[in-house]
Amino acid sequence: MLETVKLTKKFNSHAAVNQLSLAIQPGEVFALLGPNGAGKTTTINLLLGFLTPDGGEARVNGASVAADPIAARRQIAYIPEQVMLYPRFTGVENLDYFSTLGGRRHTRDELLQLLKKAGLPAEAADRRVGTYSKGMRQKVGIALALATEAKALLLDEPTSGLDPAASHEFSQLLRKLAGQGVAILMATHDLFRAREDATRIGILLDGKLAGDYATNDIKGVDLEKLYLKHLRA
Amino acid sequence: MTSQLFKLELRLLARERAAWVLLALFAGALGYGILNGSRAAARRHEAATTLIQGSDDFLGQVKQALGQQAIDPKALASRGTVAVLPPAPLPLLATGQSDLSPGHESVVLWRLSASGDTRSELQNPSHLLTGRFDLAFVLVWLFPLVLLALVYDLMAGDRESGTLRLALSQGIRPWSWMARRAFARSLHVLGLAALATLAAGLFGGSDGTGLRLMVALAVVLAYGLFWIALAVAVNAVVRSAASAATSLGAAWVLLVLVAPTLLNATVETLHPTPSRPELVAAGRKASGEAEKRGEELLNSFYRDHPELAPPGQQADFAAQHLTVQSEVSRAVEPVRQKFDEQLAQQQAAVNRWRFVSPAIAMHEALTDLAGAGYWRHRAFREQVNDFKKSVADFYTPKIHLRQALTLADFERLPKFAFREEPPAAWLNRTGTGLAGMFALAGALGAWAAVRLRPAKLGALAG
Repeated sequence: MLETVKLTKKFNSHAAVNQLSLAIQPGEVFALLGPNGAGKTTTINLLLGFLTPDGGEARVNGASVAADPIAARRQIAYIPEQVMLYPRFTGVENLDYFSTLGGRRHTRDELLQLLKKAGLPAEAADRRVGTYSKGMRQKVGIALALATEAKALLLDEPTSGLDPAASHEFSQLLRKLAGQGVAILMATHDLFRAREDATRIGILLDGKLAGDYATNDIKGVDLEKLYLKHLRA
Repeated sequence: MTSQLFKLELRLLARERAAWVLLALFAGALGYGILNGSRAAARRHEAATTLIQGSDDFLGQVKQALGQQAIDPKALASRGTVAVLPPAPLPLLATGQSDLSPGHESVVLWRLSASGDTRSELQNPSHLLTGRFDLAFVLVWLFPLVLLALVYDLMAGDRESGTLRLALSQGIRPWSWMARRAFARSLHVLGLAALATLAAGLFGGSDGTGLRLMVALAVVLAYGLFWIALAVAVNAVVRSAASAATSLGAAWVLLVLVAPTLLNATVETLHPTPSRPELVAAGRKASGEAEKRGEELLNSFYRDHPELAPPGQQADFAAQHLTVQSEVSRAVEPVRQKFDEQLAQQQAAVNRWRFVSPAIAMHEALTDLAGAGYWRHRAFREQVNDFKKSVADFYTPKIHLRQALTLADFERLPKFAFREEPPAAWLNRTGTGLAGMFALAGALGAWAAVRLRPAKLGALAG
């Protein structure tokens, strides 16, 4: 479970995240929409412990990020917009390296299996990632989430720059992870993917949650119009 | 986790072609340093052996001659003897002052007041100017450069390429990750440096130098540790690999090139060495004045030592010359003492300030352990001075009393045998240097650990 309680982060006097309270349950996919500078990435950085909050608290599966950042991070998988890996390592070596950093040991067969589950072609697993496309690198990121058995997944613009097929494939993987009980927070500008993948959609404006909708409740609503309405309000 | 991560870090390093080239160059430099050191050591060893052999042969001839007849002590005193500093305990480790300070001194009764720098080994002036490309040079100058080339972007490179955020999000403690990575990336360089030190000790060291070799190994590792800790500390603050490289390069220039030169200049300014011409001029002046007063000096000597006055005989030239020499020694002694005191003060200042740069502490420790530093040469000079006194004490009464040397005197002839310092003395000096280097590395490491706390992750992740 991912949780923020009155989470606040200020840069100088500007509040990038302002009293944000969220609770994302296991199996939920929460799409966080918002214009540039709304505070989406700052929220993710606060949940990762990369930033220290000025107020409130962030928790991952009950572990306070501020009090015990290592324990909190051990339960999180993070997939940034660009999954950067070591280009001199192969896909399987990168997965081995990062999962070992996360305190998990896997055999080579297990790692290959994880990459296969994440949708990476078998022939690519032993190729250096310097030759990988963005989509392939993201699959390594998903495999890493599987390898570390993360309880929560943080995604920052995961489908930006992906072609529609890769984007679709990525969505399916997300749903699979959610089906396994992972709580997912996805910061995105992609309204289509948000509607397709998320179980809840939040609209963040000036660091505040301006709207929080269950996807099922807004089935007949034009999401773009709803989003723009919040933006103009 | 540790071993797997370590293995993967090694694999990552192995895929960098530049790392292999660097390691090959470093191994070549170490080998060349040992080769150069061994050539210089062989030359010094040959010079010492020839001198000792010559001296032994001469003593054999003297014994044989004494077996046949008594000998005039003046004849034996004129030939003199040679005080030889035995080869250094670990000569391949460092040339140090061996090519500047004399490794032997001719001790002739008539010239006891003369300066001791009478060299027989031919020296290439360019070597004296630039220093030798020996193992100590490679370890003090090149070892940190090669280490830094492999560890300069421990974290800054990841920050730049974007892998740092992914790595830190895995929940590893940044300090422990950096420490393991630094150790993995520097393992080969540390190993090569340690192997070269061991090789220098095992192939060129004298018997019983095991303890010196172990301390030398510890010193080399402590020096390496300092540079690794510095790289970790720099990586904890800078944001790009280029900044890390520039900062560490500047640190190398400052600590290895500038600091030793500045310290030398400061020490020379604070405690200037009296010039050798001053010493020679003082000797000449004293000699001229003493010769003018030769007869007066001799009479005064006999008044002080009536037991040495030749009964009913006229004092001869040799007796007068001895007295003149004794007066010259007395007159020159303050200048010589000033020379030694200034050298001692210079060395004391270097010892006090050596931690300004670990390169100075490392060089001092290596030359000391090799037996090529200030202390062993000072011990040699002091023991030669004592030996000169014993030569004077032995011959002076016999020459004044015109007593011939007999076979019974042979065993009492003064013979020079250098006494090495007790291990406690060099252990105390090098132990301080070693502890200082560990303390510097520890302080840097502790500072880096504070900067790399998980709570400071925001600043690290960028």
